[in-house]
Amino acid sequence: MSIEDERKKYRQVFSQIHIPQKIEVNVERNTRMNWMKKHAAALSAALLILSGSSAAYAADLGGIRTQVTYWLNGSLEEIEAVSNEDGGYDFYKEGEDEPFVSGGGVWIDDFGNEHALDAQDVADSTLNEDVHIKDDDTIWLKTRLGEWDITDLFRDQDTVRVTDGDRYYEISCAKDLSSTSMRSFHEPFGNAEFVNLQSS
Amino acid sequence: MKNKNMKLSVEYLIPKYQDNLYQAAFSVLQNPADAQDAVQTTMIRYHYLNQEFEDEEHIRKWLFKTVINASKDIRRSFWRRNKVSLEETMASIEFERIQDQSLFQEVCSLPEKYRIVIQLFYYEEFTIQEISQLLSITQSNVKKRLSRARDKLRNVLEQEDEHVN
Repeated sequence: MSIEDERKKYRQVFSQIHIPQKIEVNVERNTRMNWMKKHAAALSAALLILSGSSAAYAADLGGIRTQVTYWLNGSLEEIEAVSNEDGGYDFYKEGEDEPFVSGGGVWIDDFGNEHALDAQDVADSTLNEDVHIKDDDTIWLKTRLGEWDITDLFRDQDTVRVTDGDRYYEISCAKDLSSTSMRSFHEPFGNAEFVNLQSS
Repeated sequence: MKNKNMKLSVEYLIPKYQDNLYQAAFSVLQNPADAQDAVQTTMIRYHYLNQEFEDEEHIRKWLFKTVINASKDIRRSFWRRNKVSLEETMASIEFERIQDQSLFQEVCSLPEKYRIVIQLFYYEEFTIQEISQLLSITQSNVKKRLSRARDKLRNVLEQEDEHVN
């Protein structure tokens, strides 16, 4: 049977699968310069309402809410993530009204476009990942999978790219060890080579 | 360099793509309510995205990549809805023919990583390269998964052929 025949049969069946509740959209627009937006515009969408929703998400200016998990001292914990005005998330522990940490991030597609990370990815990068300098001036990367001394990688360069086998990191460190910065991604980007910490 | 100056409205995109995105989400989650949530999350993200695209196809790929990631998000979440059995889901769908139900059941019995590849390849007609980008896996992996899925589905597809003949 040819692929086209298989495709036809498959489409015959799955064209009968429809979203249970059709989404209806009501977008309110205003002409006020919107302080939330990165790009000033004369017209901006202030509110997106989706009717027929079975979701637990609040699609209003209060932010989209979702539950995410993170590792704390070896056990998996649950917290609530609420989208904020900066395009990232505020994270709340159960029963608390104030966020204990906030964060955001982007992933880069093959066209070089940046897209906001989802809540779980931000939690993974903000709460589970860290680069720090110890008292003995060694540079360490901590991820969900472990902790590695990456001092030697900075011998001849200020920026290194590594992977723990799960996520990919670009880490910069000032020569005088006064500051570090880190970006992490789902997948490798561009043509960069990444040192695999699991095998080094 | 291609111009990136397109941002289609959700009012246009939702009616056009909601069923397709739902089918992709369903192939990951196999739960109608969760798949619906994944589609709505995707549309909300798109609406608030401060970005323009090269063309509609570029938007379409972004939508599929996002709904797949949103589906995986939901799958990981402890707050996932109670599972609906496959039998209950199938009972809610009015298939035109018995053979359609058989093929649907067979596809649903595949591992998730095969189901999503099948959906993107057969239904959405993405190329191997595009599927590898959407799922962040190598093209070789896409081909392997597609080949194995087709092997598993071959029997039921041929049975359908015999029934028709």
